[in-house]
Amino acid sequence: MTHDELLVRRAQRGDQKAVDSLLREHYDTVRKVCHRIVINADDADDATQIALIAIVRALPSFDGRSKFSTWVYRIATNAALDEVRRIRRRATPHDDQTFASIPVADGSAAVDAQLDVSAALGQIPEEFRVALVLRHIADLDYEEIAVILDVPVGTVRSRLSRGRTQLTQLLGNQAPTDSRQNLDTGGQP
Amino acid sequence: MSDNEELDPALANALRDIPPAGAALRDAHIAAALAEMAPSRRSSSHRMRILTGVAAATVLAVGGLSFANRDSNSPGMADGTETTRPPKTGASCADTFSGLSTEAEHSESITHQGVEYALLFRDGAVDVYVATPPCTSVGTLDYSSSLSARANEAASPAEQICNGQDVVHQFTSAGDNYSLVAIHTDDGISVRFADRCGIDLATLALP
Repeated sequence: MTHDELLVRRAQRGDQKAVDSLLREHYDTVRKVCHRIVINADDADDATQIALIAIVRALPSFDGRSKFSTWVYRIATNAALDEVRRIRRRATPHDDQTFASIPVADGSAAVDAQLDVSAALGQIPEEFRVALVLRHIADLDYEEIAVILDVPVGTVRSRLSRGRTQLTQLLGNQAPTDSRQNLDTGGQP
Repeated sequence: MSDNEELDPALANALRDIPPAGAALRDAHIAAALAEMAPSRRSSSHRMRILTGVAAATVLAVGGLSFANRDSNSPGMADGTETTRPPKTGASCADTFSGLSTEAEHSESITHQGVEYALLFRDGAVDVYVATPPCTSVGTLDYSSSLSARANEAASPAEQICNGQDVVHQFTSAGDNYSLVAIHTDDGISVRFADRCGIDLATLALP
């Protein structure tokens, strides 16, 4: 039995310390998943909070058929996607470029790189972005991503391929932000 | 599966490179989540115990209650959105239920359109009563056939977790653990497996 499995068993029996340990263990990745899907930092932190609450509420229903981490990242992904939809609902027509309007800072190289990645991710279609996040941040394999997204493995492969291509194009060239936005961001896998 | 080579390592690192949350933010997030534990603990700890209903004064004796006049009518209804926990108000039904016997394992209460209902969970079904005098039986949510079907299914469908819904009942059947949520609909409630939120196990229109 893994460390996580032991903690989950204790947590499901109402052991608050076990729940606390599980949340702390997965907090950073949950937050990263939310940040890379939602993009806007404040909204992403809201999504992180919602995800943690959902994890605690749903913990009694976790049946161990998937890895606990996979289950956690599925909840985080859903919380992040819900937040994205909330943002879209509250956005005015002039805010259509919400995710593409991350400012480019002229501060440190690290901050600039951070903003570049966020801006680029914001220009990638949501389904590609989510696949990239689950693969390269949550470190899930194709099958796990397919289960979380409820799509065939082939679709995951396609979304990852197209997402990688777009991300590389966006970050690989040094074109100004305006021209980057001309990249094709639509389409299905 | 290793395909990180398909994404430039520097790019992969940049993707992961998110400034960590401050300790204060992290602790606040976790504390808020832990605060959600109380309802879940209450749900699981009430098995075979004195039931607390919708009011501090509403006490339903469990270990031997039996409710007659069950109504298996389960009309379909629109898909719902939320489950709410009731305010702890209302008059007692203890006198009405006292002395009756049932195999009920656990109770919860909900408020629907301002009326408080007691949900009494037993094997494969939920008996629903108005939680204030005259404590009328409203009907039964019978999910026994769905439970049997799930136990016998060859392959599990993709799960759809009921995010944000409190688990109202946990039980074990044939060695498998299950959790239920109660979803409010416009005119009643729906009971679903917590890990299959898109499927009604049983629905009941409330007055």
